[in-house]
Amino acid sequence: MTILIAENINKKIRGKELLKNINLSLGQGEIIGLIGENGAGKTTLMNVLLGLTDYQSGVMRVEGKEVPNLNHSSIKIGALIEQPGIYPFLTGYDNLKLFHEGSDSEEINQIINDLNMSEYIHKKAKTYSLGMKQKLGVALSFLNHPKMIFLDEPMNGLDPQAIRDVRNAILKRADEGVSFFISSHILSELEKVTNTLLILNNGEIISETTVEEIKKDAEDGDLETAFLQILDEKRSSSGEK
Amino acid sequence: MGILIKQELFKLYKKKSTFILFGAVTLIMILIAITANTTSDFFDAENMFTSAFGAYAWIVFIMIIQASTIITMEFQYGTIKNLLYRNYTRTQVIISKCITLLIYSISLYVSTAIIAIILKFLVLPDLSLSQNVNGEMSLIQSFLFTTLGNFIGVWLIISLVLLLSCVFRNTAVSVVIGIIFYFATSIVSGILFLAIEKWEWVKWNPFNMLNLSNQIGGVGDIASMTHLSVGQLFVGNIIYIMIFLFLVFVVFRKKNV
Repeated sequence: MTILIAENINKKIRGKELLKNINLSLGQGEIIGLIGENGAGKTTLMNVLLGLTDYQSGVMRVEGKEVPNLNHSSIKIGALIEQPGIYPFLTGYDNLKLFHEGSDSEEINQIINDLNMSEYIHKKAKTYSLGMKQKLGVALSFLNHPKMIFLDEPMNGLDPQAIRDVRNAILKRADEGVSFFISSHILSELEKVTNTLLILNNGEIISETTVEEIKKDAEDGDLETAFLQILDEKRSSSGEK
Repeated sequence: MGILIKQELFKLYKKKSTFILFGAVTLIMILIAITANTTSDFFDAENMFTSAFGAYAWIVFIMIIQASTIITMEFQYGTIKNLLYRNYTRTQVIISKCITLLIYSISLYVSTAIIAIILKFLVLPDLSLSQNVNGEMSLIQSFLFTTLGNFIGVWLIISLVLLLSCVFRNTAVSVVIGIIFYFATSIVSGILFLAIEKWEWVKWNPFNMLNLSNQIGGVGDIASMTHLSVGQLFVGNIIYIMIFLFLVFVVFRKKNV
């Protein structure tokens, strides 16, 4: 079942095209990986889909119903965009409690356990390391049983164990039918969770493929090599240096 | 909307400054009440009581700090995105913040008014609530009108501070600018008295409206300087508060997250 469809999304700021004819669809339980260079438009695309910034043209449908953006849809959304949005004067637990819409704490405790955060969750967030804050940001995106979760660089600042915790938590939720849209520069990690890859270059999706497909074309079978190859080909075909 | 207001109140409740500032004001009130009792030549007990033993002068600063940070902190901590992607509109977010500030300001004024009355009975028992003040009102009437006038005046400042804070993304900068702005308005208000003498229409400027509580409290012959009645100042304050809050909504809706 397709949850989200975006068709011909275009965004311009002061004449500069930030997103060009973006077409994508996200199925239930699907994990889409979004990759691209810095400034390719990954965060802008997520912001547009979430309704955090406007766009000039295009159509969005959520569960078949046309909406201006996900903020106007009836489904629950989770997101971690750029930096984790947390209140430093609250404990990690209070940050979760603040945004939790239910009355029972079972869901909060489940998320804390999934992400192995129980050791420090009752400490003030201002005392957290970068990785702890990042985990809390991921935890916030999991709150309230969202149907769709957007994660922008979720592995930023995480140690290998924390990366494994976040990866397992993502896969667990995807198995339960939650759809994910994840951007990351850590391609080796992205390929462990994603089904579909979108490559964004200068605001344009230049490739939509699976991890297996894209790796076939690489000389050494590595995702990073394949990604760089695609970018180089795109540059040479468009005459860029 | 109810959830958003609950969230805002939760944040206020969890902030240490909320209670520390209130505690400091209570302490100042107690000290002033004791001083008014012991050095009656220096402090006029009636005036001290009607100004809630100095509490209203400090509440302005507390409210400037809270109003400056309530919007700015969401941008500084990046939490604004958490609010906006969760099916809340920007209008709901900003209205919930204004309602929270309203609840907080009412709580502050009611608490300090109650403390002031308790202090009057404990420290200044000879002061009668029914005694005549300025030949027009009883002491308790004067106290309540001053409280109301001060509350409205604070909201005029808050609405302007909220508008200013929409521009900034750093809470410290926002608080400093808010406090500087407050002092600047007092100076401008004084200068504008001269302009009002020359051009009658200047009396409708928003800075002149800040004199409401002084005029209610009968400080000097302020009515001859504002050229407005208490009723006109009251309505003027409400209209300006509505205009500034409307501008806050407009600016907040356009603000880039």
